[in-house]
Amino acid sequence: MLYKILELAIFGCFAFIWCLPWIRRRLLTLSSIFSFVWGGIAFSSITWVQIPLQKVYSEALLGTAVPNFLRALGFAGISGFVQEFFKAIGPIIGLIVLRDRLKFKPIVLGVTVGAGFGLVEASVLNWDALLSFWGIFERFSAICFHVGASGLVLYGFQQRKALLFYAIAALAHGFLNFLIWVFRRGYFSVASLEVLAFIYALVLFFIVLILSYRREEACSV
Amino acid sequence: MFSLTKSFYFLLVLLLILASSCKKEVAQNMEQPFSPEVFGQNESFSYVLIENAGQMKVGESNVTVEKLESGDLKICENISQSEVILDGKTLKVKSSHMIVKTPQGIYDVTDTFVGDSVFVSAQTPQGEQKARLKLPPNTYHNNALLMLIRGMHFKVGNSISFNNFLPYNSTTIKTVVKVIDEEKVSVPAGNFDTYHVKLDFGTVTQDAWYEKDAPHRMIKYDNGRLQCQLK
Repeated sequence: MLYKILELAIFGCFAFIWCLPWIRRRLLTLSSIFSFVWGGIAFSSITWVQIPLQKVYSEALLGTAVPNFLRALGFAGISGFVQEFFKAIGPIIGLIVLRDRLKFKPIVLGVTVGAGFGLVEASVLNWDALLSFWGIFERFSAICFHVGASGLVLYGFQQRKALLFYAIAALAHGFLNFLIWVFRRGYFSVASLEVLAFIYALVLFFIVLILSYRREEACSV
Repeated sequence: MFSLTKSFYFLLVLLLILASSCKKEVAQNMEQPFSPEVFGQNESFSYVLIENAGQMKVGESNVTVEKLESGDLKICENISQSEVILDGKTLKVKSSHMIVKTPQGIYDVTDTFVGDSVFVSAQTPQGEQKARLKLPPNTYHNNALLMLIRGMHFKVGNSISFNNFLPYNSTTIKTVVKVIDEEKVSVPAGNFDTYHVKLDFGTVTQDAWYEKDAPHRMIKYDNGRLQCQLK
């Protein structure tokens, strides 16, 4: 129990750190809390949608001549498309229903939905992550990635290019998961994989941060 | 001119067409894909483990196959400390035990198979965990698989399909094993005429080579990361 509380506190701090640029600019509102909670709920899509889809995909490949790297790419791609879809769909429906895209700042909703998803993923999927340094580091960069990816999708929605930005975020997510397959083939050490994944997540995060600033400047003009 | 969005959809459709055009050969379902006759009284095999990435020797693995007084088969492997007891006639699993070492600690997993169910009992760093799971028909045990394949009907083009129980996460996956070619293979134990077999787990395929002559010893195995070569 104490371990679980400690874990939640640490991962909660990670989520806070990655939301900090928007917290400092006082952009988080009540709607951000809803999207944060939605992010946690959206994590269940892994069980109900992603895994069954991956099973169907896996069985469809049986007996085919598709090479292993393409199989792994598709497998990783499914996780990207499913997770990014379910993360974004809650805030997007909320924004459509409320019909006010500017007031609620879609990027901020995207950032918080990603933080919620990343926090639940860290505490549910990697419940023993605290036992190793790289386990903790992986969760730090995973939350960063989720924040960036969801922020990107919601930025696309703001720009009325939701599908395109969703595809970009999903493919970026899928490619990150594909790196794990490459690691399992023995081409990376754990340290190289984690550092590479962190840089990848950080790049996406800063792109979203810049887009967020740009958007605000455009609004203020 | 195509917009970026349209180009993306075009690429997606193209990928789907390519994927569906890949040659798919349906595996033949057989009642019992593996014959028990190939197994001797007491067999022992030693394999050198070689990492594919650097072609470095990383260890050795010993596999023993023992016929018990009851007629059952016991298959043991030293690295995962795996022990699988199979019914001597049907080759279906009766019980299994293995130890998984992870950075998070040691997992000691015991599975007992009764009818169409498996009773899982695991000692984990977080305490004891128990579960009862239903198994689909025609299920074989992953930890015995490489030895079981010795009992398949070796003929180029022949394939079998079955459900494969993975003790690491207590799940079953559909698996197809196909004899794809005849090849000469060199390993520390010598040169052998072999059948090249492809193990297809859906998301990943692996390769194994079995001696053409009975009792069809496994000569080489490649899971993409590691190779086992008979010594």
